[in-house]
Amino acid sequence: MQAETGRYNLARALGLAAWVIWSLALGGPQSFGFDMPKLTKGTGARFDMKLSTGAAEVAIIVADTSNSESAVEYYFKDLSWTGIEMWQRFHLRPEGKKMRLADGFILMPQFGQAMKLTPEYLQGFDGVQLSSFMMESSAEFNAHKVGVEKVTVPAGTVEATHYRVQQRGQTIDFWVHDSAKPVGVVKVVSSGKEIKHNYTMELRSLIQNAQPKIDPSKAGPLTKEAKEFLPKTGAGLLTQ
Amino acid sequence: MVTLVLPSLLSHAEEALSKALKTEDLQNTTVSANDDLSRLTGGRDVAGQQIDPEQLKKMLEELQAVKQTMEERNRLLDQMMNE
Repeated sequence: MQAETGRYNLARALGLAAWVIWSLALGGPQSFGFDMPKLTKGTGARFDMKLSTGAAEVAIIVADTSNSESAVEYYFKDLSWTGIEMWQRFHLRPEGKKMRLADGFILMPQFGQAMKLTPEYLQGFDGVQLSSFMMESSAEFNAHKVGVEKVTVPAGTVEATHYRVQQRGQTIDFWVHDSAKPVGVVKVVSSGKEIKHNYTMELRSLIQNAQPKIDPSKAGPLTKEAKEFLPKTGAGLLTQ
Repeated sequence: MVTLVLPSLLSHAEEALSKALKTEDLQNTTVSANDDLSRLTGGRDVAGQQIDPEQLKKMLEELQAVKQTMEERNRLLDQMMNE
């Protein structure tokens, strides 16, 4: 029972960590105000992730971009024996001075075709909130700056800027560098009292010329089976 | 295709900065598992066999059953606490 619960928790923690990376990528040190961030389709980054319950691979790419909308796609692979793979795609549109998560899609081979996420799966997570990273100005973001430090990750060594965000018992230290754009994140260390809050992510490589896996025009509705498996983003991720 | 930039510099990474981060060109393919990582650990059981989709689907159903059991336990605990 405990091992099964651990695997269940891993899938949920993966979602949380990916959310944090995505938040940093699109709402991080750069301030985009009313404009969409300048992103190049097919670029992104791959990360090694370590959790207390196992290891995983996470990648994020720019799936599409236009003047009115950006789409990012996540790839996850659980590196334990299950080998679960998952792709998620999120569409963002500017709304006032903030970005709004307009649409989301998920593809897990076990559930068949890609599915469109319903609104309850697009709202804020517990722990550190998305809004913690969606800052309206560089000054606001710089309030979280710790300093500039040399960081070595599988992709190389850089003098990265270290930031720290704390909220609801979770502390996230992250290091960013321009050469790691479009995501910009080199390393993430999250800690907290809860199991789900403890993980690290390190940049393995930058990605170029990637094609998105999910085609929104071919996505179906979210099935009952998938709804039961996925954590609602507004609910506790590991409260069981 | 993985392009490793300045491998000699990376071998002394403790002291030196990389002039460029390692980059992989996916040549218009979708993102999937990194070969190096997957060869080591990903998606294989103890006998080295890839898990088939049916087996994984069954596992997901079992996990869902675990979740429901725990939710029921939590509901009963809440009920006891309230009483």
